[in-house]
Amino acid sequence: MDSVKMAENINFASPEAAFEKYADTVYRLAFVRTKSSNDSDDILQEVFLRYLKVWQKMQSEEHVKAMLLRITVNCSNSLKTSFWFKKTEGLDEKLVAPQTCDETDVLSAVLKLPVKYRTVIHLHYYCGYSVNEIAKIEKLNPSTVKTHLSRARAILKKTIKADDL
Amino acid sequence: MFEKDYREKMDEIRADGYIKQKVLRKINAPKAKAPSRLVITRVATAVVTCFALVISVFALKTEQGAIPAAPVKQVSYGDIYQAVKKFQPSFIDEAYDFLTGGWAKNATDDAEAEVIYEYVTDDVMLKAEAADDADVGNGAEYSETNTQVEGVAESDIVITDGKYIYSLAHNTQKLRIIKAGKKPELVSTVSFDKSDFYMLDQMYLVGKRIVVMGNNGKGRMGTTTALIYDVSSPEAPKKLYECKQSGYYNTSRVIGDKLYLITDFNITVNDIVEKTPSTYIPAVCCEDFDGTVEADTVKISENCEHPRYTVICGFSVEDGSLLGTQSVLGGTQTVYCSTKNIITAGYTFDDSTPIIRYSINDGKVELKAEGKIEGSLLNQFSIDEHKGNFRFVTTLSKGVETRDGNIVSYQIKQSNSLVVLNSNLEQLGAIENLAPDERVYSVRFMGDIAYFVTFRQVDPLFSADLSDPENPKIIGALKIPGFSNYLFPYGEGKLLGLGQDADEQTGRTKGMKLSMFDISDPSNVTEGAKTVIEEQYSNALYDHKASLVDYKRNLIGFSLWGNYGNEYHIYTFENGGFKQLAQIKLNAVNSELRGLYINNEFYIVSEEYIRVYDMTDYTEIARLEL
Repeated sequence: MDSVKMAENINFASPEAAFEKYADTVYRLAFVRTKSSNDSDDILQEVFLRYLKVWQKMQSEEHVKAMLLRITVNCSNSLKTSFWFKKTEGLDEKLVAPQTCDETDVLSAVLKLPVKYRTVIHLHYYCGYSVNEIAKIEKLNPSTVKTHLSRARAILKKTIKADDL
Repeated sequence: MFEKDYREKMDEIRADGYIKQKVLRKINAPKAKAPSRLVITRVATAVVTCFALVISVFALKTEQGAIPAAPVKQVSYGDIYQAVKKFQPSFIDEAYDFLTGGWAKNATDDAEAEVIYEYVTDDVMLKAEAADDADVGNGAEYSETNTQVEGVAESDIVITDGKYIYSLAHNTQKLRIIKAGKKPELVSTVSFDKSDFYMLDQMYLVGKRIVVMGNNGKGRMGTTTALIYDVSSPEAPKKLYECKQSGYYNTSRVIGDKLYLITDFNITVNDIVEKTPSTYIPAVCCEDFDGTVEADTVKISENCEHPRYTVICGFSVEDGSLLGTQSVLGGTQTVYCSTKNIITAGYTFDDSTPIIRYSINDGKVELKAEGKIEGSLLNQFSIDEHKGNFRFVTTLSKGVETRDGNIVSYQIKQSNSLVVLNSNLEQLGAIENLAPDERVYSVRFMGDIAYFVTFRQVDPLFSADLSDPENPKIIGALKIPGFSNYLFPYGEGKLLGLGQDADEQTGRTKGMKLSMFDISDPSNVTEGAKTVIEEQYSNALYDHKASLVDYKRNLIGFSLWGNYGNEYHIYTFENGGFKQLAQIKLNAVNSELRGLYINNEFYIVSEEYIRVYDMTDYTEIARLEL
């Protein structure tokens, strides 16, 4: 290992590098969970501001990604419990962006699922995490994740006739 | 199917570019000022915390007092980490800084290190000369790079060994080897890509080896690479070794076959991780070493104001091995190198110059002493070593506030000094307050005498007698219009000044000027001859290596640019006057030019072409487009 180069590579976890690489990843999970692009913008910012405090402890590229996704889950949870969220009614995304809400569309089908099911489906099928990894990210019991996943699959099979699930 | 569809749909969802930029700005400025309504409470906490800090600093101070040596020895990476960490900006530090008027500025400790100055024999110098004699047995007479100290090679972009011309092309990142002669011929080309060098710098010819140096990698930290090529068969240069060290290229020297590479290594203080030493310790990678340097080769300068290292490594050009290394936390601007010592001069905010002396011997580098002088230095020629003492010419700029009734005017007052330090960098003698309101334009030390030029409207050339280091005195001052940017010794009793002519009344520069000073009597220096090339200027005014000054062949050459396009002028000095030998019109080039001679041919080398001239009448005999 060329250790002179190493000094530069250490910055893989730096907030700038992580943002460059994972901003969209974070945004997508936030969108899946909140169904609102405005909330997702807020979460994107909040996630990286929180990441500033922890990035120096990152050990690997994978660690960075998993950490960011966990912060995203936490942020969207705290958003739901926030005063603003409780006391205001969100503008229906359908009115704003009707094109993303085709009835037979897989995306709209997923977004219709309860938030805990959406999250596991997204993390499993889009981010490619296993049940155990999702359990770590969401801080849940692996069997709970398994249940969420199987119930989500069952619903999706009915709604969009996805037989390959 | 589901997975693929879902992925495709999901990939279309992206965060808005504007939002992304906004967030990126926020994470790049994590220490942004707190909102104003919070400031009061935060200051309150800061003040309370400061008391704690002050106490701990005092505790630290008394501990340090017990250590007698001036350069504090570091024992572990952990200590260095703590020292670097101090530079991390934080609100508390800023408040503390504000309250105490600068905490990073350590008062210079009176305790001085017992450093015994070793006067190494002139072996190194002799070896360097022997190496010169040994290579190229064809007895060709050829020009060499214009350097400061005899026996210490300085890098350049064009070098010749009498048979071949080696030329570095910066724009296309190439090393070209050209066979010299009446019909010059491109023998081989080595191309460097971005993985070799991000930016090529300069090179050396050491025996049959070419050392090419340059920066590698972007960003704040950077890496400097030296590639060593075997050119014993110029048709097929062979890459032998690769030496790398942390930081951006500052300068380098070659003594004998030892390469001393000096880099500036900036630490990104917010990114340091204690468990990863490479984030705050310089690293070296070569044939027999790969990793961060040993903790005991790292020192922390007393005058360190920036989290920036000066990294000096000695490499063997013979086998690409690391011979010695020394890193000092504290930045460097000017570097002087004699055959036995390297002097680095840094900078501070209060117009003083921290000086560090390293002894060098066969590639080994060791910090020996640290000191500080008032004022700032012009360039490497402002520093000199003679008989174990070190001499400096500095310019001191001071802001002076004058109050006239209600009008306050602020003026920068300049004055110049000449300082002599001993090997421990303690002051022996000084001449202060020279030429007030002027600044130093060029310096040359020649043994016991120092010559320097200050300038505002007319050019006083001062000569100072330093034979008694404790009592330096000015023995002569010659006032003439214009000034010299460089002074080069030109044979017995002569000093060549390359500079600019200026109007005596207004001080406006009028063009390039060559002066030959008669210094046979240092107390009565006269301008023996001068010639002015009006409205034209040269790179030789900014870079001493750009000019050809060869006393043996009695040749002075430099390229010019001005109203008439590019030209190369060659002068000789005879019968007490300058005589122009040639005035060669050149195509415009977007690279630097160098002139050199081999036997009876004069070559003008640029990145785009080489032209060959017969030196009897300077007619063009060949040109080679590259």
